[in-house]
Amino acid sequence: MADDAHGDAVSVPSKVPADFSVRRYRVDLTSRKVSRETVACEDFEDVFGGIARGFKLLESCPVADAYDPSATLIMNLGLLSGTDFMTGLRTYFLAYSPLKRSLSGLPSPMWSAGSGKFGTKVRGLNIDEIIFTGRCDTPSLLHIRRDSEDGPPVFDFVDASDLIGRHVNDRIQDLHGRYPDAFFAVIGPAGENYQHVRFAAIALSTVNQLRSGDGKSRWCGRGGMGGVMGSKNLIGIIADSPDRASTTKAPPILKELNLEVARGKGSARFRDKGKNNGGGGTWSNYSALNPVHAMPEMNFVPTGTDASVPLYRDNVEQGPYVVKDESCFRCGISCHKNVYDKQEDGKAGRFRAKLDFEPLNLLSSNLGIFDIDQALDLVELVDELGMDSISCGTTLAYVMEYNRRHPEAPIADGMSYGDYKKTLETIDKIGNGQLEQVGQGTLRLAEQLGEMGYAMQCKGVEFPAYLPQTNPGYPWALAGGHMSMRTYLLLLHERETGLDYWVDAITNRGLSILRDDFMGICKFSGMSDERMVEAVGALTGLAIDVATLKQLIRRTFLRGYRLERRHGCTDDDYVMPAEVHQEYPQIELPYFNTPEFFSELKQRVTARIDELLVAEGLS
Amino acid sequence: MSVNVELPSALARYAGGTKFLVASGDNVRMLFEKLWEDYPQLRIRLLDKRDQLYPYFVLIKNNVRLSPQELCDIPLDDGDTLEVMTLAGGG
Ligand code: SF4
Repeated sequence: MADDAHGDAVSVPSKVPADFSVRRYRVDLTSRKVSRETVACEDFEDVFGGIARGFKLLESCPVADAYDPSATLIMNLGLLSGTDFMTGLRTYFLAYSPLKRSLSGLPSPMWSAGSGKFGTKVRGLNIDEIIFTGRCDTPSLLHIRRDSEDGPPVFDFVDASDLIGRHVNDRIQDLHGRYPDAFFAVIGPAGENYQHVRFAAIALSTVNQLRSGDGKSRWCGRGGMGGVMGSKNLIGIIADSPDRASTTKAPPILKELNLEVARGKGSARFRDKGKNNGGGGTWSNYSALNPVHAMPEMNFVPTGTDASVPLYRDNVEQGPYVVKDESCFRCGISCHKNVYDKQEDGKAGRFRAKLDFEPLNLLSSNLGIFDIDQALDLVELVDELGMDSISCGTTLAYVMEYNRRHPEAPIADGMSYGDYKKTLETIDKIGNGQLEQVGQGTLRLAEQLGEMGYAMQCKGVEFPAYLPQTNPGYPWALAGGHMSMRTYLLLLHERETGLDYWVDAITNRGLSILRDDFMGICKFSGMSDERMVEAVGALTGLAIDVATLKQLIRRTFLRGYRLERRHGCTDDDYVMPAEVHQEYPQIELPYFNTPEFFSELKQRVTARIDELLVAEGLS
Repeated sequence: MSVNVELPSALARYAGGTKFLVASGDNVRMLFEKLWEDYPQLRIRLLDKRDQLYPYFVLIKNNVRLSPQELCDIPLDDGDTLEVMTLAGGG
């Protein structure tokens, strides 16, 4: 980040925030004016960047409409983004969301992060942060490059009319042909049709994608950040800088830290089985959760049957498919589980889709679709249209459940559980802006239909693929329940059902997941706070201890929560859909999230957060 | 005979606050019985009603993953390591 932060390797960290500064660019898309400011850091939030600094910025630019041209879209990096720390690849987009909102109707603060090599290129251009406002008058690309090797970044606007309507990978491959040294952040058709799709995503290109030609983007998926970009008529951002060999010597500890990321216990679950006893990636959740019927099926109501068994990875690999673990730039975890058709010689043929647990589950089992070939088609199409697979899948499940309950007056052409063909057609319509009723997301659709009890969302953000029945922490997640509140598998592992436990889980332990949203690294790295303090010190010279890091995590959460409150959230927004609180005997986990339990929990969580706000001087 | 046991971090709170334990037993079954004696809270978090390891755990002995079928009678030697790894994880 800051001017001297990523220069020489440092042996004894001694820098304080005031020793750092942020290279920030403000881009007014209406006038196409770009201004640079170098901002001295006031605190650790400023130094770390990502959501820690982003929330501070969002405080100063509230909007009533996420798509208003004056709305702010922040693109920034975390402290270790673009460094040699393994998985240090994250790019963050922050804005007031077109999807997440309070009951008052005001858009709520949101962010989404993605890997790939785009962030590394942004770092290579010496940019820490870009603040976009305004709206391009025509569909445009922002090409950021340098005139000379050490010169400042130059911002050019390029007409993007020829990309309109095309699928995401097609756009990226086209841009790769034109800008061979660059990496890209692009929206797809959904982002262009932002008025009719509230869960459009931003794709970040990967090395593997550009080499293979396959659609292997990483995604800033949640909260409709692609729609905000689309509302600004900004179709893509091109970070164009040649790779340069590092001129500084890496700190000796870096090798050890990277080895731990690649081969250590923290990332083991996400590695392949053959890689130092890896757990096989998030896809393993199928064989881990389904036997105890703790996995979403049919709009988050497990069937209690073996219906999802064909979708286990081991079973898929026995069919005509090859699954390869592949990776982002220089990452040893290789969490991508890419599925290919198997050729006659047994080798990988045509690329089909990248399967993580979330897209797979929410676009198959949770829709009553248990055929892997169909699931691959659905996952690929959602990606290619540039949508968040979680929000899209969960909204489709709501539609199917509504139609099951209302066979006399179904919506969306009567789409029903298990109906692959209509699901495919519906996804295509949503992504192309032809089905706003569904493209507006679960909350607004449920409000329109008057049936909120099984609308699986909180504050407008659809639930990820972990049962809400087992996780009363969802309402306090700032940016979706599996990325911003680490309470989603606690019941499975710890089986605790007491109020004290859950208050602490939500207001203390659950917040730890936010650390990597300003650190600039992948959550899958699984590194301890102790090790990250070492990494930060070695790579940037910043002196920080674990207690201060934990405080920064807490303060970041509190700022996000305070922003939600300032943007209209009241106690009534921190609720769960009513049917979540029922007992489902087929779920082989303790039943505890009753209406009474949740009501008392909410009072105590709210009181605890209020105390923390006062203690941190943020009330 | 003593075996070095490593638990998932989430379960350390049910094992006296540490994920690293030393326990004894001629085989995995006996070792587990000993663990339940010392840390009774662990049992319900690792074993289901049929006394089987929950499907979201795997056992790794001396860096070799064991299949669920062979868990109980696997012999253990002095100095062996036995790791309980959790499969379920987010993302
Ligand atoms: S953990 Fe996965 S997403 Fe993260 S950098 Fe590695 S391969 Fe990419």
